[in-house]
Amino acid sequence: MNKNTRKISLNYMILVTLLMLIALFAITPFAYMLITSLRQTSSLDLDIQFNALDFTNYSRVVKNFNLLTNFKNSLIVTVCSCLLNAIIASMAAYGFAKKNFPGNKFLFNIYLITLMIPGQVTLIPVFTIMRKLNMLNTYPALIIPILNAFGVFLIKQFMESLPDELLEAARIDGCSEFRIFYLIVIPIIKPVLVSLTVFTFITSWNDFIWPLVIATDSKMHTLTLAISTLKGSYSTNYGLVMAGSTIAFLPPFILYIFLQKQFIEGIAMSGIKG
Amino acid sequence: MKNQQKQALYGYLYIAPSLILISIFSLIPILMTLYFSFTDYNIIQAPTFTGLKNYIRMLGDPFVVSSMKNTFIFTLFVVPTQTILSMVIASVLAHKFQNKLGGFIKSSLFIPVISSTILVGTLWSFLLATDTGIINTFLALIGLDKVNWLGTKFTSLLSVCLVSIWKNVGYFLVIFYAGIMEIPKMLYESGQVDGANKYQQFWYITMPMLKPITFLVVTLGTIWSFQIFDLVYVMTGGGPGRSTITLVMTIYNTAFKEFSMGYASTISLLLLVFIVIISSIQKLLFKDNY
Amino acid sequence: MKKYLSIIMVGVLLLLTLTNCTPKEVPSDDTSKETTSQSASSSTASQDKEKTELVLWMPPFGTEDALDKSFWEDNLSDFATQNNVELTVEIVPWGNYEEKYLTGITSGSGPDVGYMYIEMISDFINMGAIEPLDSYITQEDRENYLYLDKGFIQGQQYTLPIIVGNARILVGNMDLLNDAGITEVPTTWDELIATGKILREKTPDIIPFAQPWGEPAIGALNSLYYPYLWQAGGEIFTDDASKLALDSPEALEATQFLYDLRFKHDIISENAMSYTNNDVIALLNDEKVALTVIDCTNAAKLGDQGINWDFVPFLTNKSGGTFVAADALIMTSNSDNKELAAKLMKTMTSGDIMTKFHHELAMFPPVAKDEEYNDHAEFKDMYANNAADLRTLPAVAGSFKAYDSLYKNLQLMMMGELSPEEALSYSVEYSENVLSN
Repeated sequence: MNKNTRKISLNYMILVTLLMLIALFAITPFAYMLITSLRQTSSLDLDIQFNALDFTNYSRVVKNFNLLTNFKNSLIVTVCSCLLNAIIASMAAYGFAKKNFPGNKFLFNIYLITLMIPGQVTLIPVFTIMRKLNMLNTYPALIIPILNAFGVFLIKQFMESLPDELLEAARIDGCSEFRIFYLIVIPIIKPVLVSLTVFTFITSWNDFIWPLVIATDSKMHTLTLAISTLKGSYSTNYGLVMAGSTIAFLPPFILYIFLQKQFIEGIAMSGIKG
Repeated sequence: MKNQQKQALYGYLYIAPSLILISIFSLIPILMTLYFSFTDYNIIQAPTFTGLKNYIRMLGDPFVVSSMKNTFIFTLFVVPTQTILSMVIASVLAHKFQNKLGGFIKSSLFIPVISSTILVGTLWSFLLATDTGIINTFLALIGLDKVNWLGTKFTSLLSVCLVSIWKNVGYFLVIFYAGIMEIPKMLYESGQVDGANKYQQFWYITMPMLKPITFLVVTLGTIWSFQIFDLVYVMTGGGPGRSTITLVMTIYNTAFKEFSMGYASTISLLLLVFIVIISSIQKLLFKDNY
Repeated sequence: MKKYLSIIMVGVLLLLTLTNCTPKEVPSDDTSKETTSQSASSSTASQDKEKTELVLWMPPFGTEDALDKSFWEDNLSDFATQNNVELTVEIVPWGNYEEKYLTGITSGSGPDVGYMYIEMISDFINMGAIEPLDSYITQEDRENYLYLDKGFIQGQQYTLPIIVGNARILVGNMDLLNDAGITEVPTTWDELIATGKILREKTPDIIPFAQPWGEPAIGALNSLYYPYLWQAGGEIFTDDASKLALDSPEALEATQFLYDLRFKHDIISENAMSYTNNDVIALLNDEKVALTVIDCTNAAKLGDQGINWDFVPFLTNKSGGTFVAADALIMTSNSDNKELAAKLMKTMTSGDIMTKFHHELAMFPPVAKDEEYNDHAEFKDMYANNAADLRTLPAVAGSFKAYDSLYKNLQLMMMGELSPEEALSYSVEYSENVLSN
């Protein structure tokens, strides 16, 4: 018995070490980012003078690069995207899952095809359309492309397991269609809505190529976009670039710290029901 | 009858907002891409019809050929690796570490997921700098040679692959973990009674039960891999030479640096065709085993 | 969820009201541009209270602390007041220049006056996006400006050069060179090879000659390749600009020279394939690099880092030659206020403002006679005596594709995948195909 438990113990310790190394490997780059952001350096080495660490880079970044505006833009776009996506996608999913109408299956298959198209393929035409609609450099232009078929697909899967009888019963009781949707359907699909919101948030906040193309006015730049220009302009001060990067990184990170459980559960749910 | 009609009407109503947006911003653009692919178009002046010229150019274009090759290699390496890695780690965590430590591991691995690809690419390009990056400094410390990570054909593509895996493992890990938790404990117990060791349990119980989730992970992973752009743009710019240039990057350069929207559309269609074919193949493969 | 939803909605509403922004608003919009054009002479029309809007796009030259935007706004405020102009200055980062102009111009939210560099100008001229300046340039201007010829493209004066300088020079860390017994920066190709070999032997831990082959932007060719091409007597484009002129023996000589530096003499190491410009600068600052070709602006900063440096403008083979930037101001064709835009351009390039620009933001040689030399003292002789060898790029439409292919092929060559002949012939062939459109 003793020999066995010691052997198990050794394996266990190896596993623990391995896993800890992996976790460390995941976190270390961000620690590096943080430390570098506090330095004034034009070189990447680890010759860190701990008494020279300060927040100068942060104040420079914020003051000189208008990052607060970019932050505001990212926030508006992301929050609106999450909200709109949740509403519009759940409505569409409800229509596809629970309503019988001619062309239901056909239209949904079209949706599936649009899922296969990467955003970059439609980049140019969407840009042209936005230009014709005079929407360049506007918030809707940044928000709309994020609302795609993925949410509909995700929610529809989940909705199929919603018992029809429940809805029928409510209808018989005299409940109006919209009240059924709002009071019964939405609360039941809450888990997948959380999942979709998490996904939309990450996608929207980190979106790069689309804001790059559509928001040429630097007043409309999102935070992610602004950071990428840092690397090009004044990049010999690596500390400055890292400070900007940290600022861009913090909002999703803080959100994640507080809503960790929901983040992870949300993603998990999408896997089970997907 | 009337109720059915009423329901149908509601159906249209509910899908209307989504359908309108998708039509305008997904479907019409595809048709436009098809149209532009037969033209010369610099966006400022009207497109001029050029027939199959773009398609012919694409056949011999070294940039397109390299992009295709790189995108394929990237996908073929990244998707299986991240799938297997996340599955294995999920399995280990689910069976042995359902505790604070396991939670910590999961949380840590998820942090790369929430960060932007641009940030990740920038960070890693610093870490992998040949002379001064800390990865090489570390290697030198333990007596190994410094590696020219972003400077040779092989290692540059490898670096991009590894960073991509590093970023996404946490996401798939969570999905697999939840899936494993759903597998009835009873299966494992009877497996143990039959004398199966943990590797056999993984192979004969865990993996088959995870099939539908694996399908989701592989499909998502594949689509994302084909779309790789941000990471390469920031880490290597497509170089050295054409070692890391990808299809989306070529599309982007062609459209926005060469001002050739027509030709860029042609390449976009090529990408679309690939994804459709590969997704269909994957669907068939997995459906067989359902 | 409901709770979250309502919190978020309230938050969004608050934000929207705070930012005073309705979704359809276009921040830097075209529609409010006044169509009441004011002739340049009646600048004190006091009855007309509405101001003319002018938009100016400039790239960043300053440091993290010196603000380009406030520099231009402050120094142009007199111009703005005197001409009743509302001036909006937008600082456009270097990286995504072409996209910004493209989308800006097509959406009508582009600038009135903007800064462009040679590689992109011809494409925009061909698109009809740039307004010729001939009618706005007086005889007096022609006598004052030194480099108008560099803006004379396709038979018209399309640009007003504002920055001519920042030559790519061969810089040496004298302390490191002295350690190996070398007293001077090499001046010929053979001297470079000899110096490099000595450095490799005597100080093996030092990088003899650093080149940023990992720099993504095609502008890297300006310091990586073109100097040697010109030194060998070669040219980049044929006279009719129908293809790259690199199928010449001179081009092969230059290309072979670089290839040999890498593979025959081992003076350029494999690591160079990963170096960006910033990596080279970082290594210079760390005193790990003995020699490199770098732009004047960054060379001058070496002194601040305490590096004991010296330079030669260029190596000499059949002749001297190195790259010098010739970037310029342009006026967009869809500007509503062309007279005023022209006036703005001339004000910006006037001696007063250029002097301040050179002192406060970045140093470059004067572009007109009404300015003294305000660049770094070290470079004065070079600009005075070597003008013929300081070369600018030709203005060729569609050059991006040609340069991109050339750069990638040269990188492949430096990685050992292509021979010099192949790298050149592939590039020439590719350029023939794409430039024939």
